[in-house]
Amino acid sequence: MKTIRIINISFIAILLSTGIAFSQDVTQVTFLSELDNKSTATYGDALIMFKLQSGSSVSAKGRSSSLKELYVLQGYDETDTLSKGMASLMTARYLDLGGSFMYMILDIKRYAYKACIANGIFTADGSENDKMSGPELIELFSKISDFKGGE
Amino acid sequence: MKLKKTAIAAFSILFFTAALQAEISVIKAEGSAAYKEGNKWLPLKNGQKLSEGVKVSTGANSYADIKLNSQNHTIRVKPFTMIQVFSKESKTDTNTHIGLKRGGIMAKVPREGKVKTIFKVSSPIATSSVRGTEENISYGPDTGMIIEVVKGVVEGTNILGRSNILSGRQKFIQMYSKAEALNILNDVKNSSIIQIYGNGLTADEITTMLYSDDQTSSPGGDLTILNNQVQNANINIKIIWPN
Repeated sequence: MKTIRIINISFIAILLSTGIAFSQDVTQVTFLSELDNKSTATYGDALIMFKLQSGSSVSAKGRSSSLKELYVLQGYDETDTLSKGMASLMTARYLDLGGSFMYMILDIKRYAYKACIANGIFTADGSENDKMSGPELIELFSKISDFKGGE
Repeated sequence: MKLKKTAIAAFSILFFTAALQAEISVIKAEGSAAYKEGNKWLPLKNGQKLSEGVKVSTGANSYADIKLNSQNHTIRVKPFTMIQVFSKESKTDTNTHIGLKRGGIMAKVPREGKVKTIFKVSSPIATSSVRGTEENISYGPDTGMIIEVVKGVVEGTNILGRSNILSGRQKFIQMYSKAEALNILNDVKNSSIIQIYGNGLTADEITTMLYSDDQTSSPGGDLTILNNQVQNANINIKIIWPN
């Protein structure tokens, strides 16, 4: 009886571990691969990336469920082209960035971009009005990940 | 007779090719870590063997530790990274080449005295060659390729063939549209020296004054607050040169 119980427990453990191994979110990697080929990223892409960074899955699309999130910008549609200023404002809010006195006073794209430059997230040779490409958006999240002390 | 020679030649080629292929295996995969097989991305599993030229990609909050050969040369593939791995080895030498499409890796390349080691990481704009043991490498379209030495010596070379040997806290930063990498001590300088302007004010402080009507130095403002603020000071500096 005891042997049968041990075999049963071992069998369930094997099944569970296999399930965990296969349940990795490969859709995330596929999404990143598609984003990598986009010459222009959208505000919707940025929202998905912030959700991924926060631990949600790719399927959790749309901003309706995340209006409470600090990184959500008011007055933009998901299809709108993403600018460095928009991405900076989302990033500065998400990371609660310091480094720019003006950003601490005025929560706007211009000073959020300067705060991002001060923290090494963007390089200084650009403008907050520059459009962002898919690869640039992914690079931004590599830096956010480093900033948060990710692996 | 001719058939026998052909068979021996074919067998020899097969044997030596097999000897050159290093065993690439996954030590640990965490989060969304996948490899490409055909046109599909499949999840990486701990202990899994990978083929030569395999593409590996990671997502948010994810990483993969990969062993590249029998010499314990390993890399950690950081979040949001895509790489392609080529690794060959024989008894006398190892030859590893990693194509970094985006993101970052941390490479550990311990040296075995008698084994000749070639370990290169390439991005579209530069290549790093490990001469020592540990390095962090990242690449992206905004900041370009950054090589940071953790331990040992690394050589960074851009596509024009201009190179720097790095050690200590030095960094190789090769940006797009720049013929040369930035000064290798640029990062040390940036974190140690703050640029100041008149009256000892930083650029940010000056900007603040331009947009606010305070009593410091906005046009028409009261400048008396800055009186007696500028004084002489002695600073002791200890300069440590990297090894």
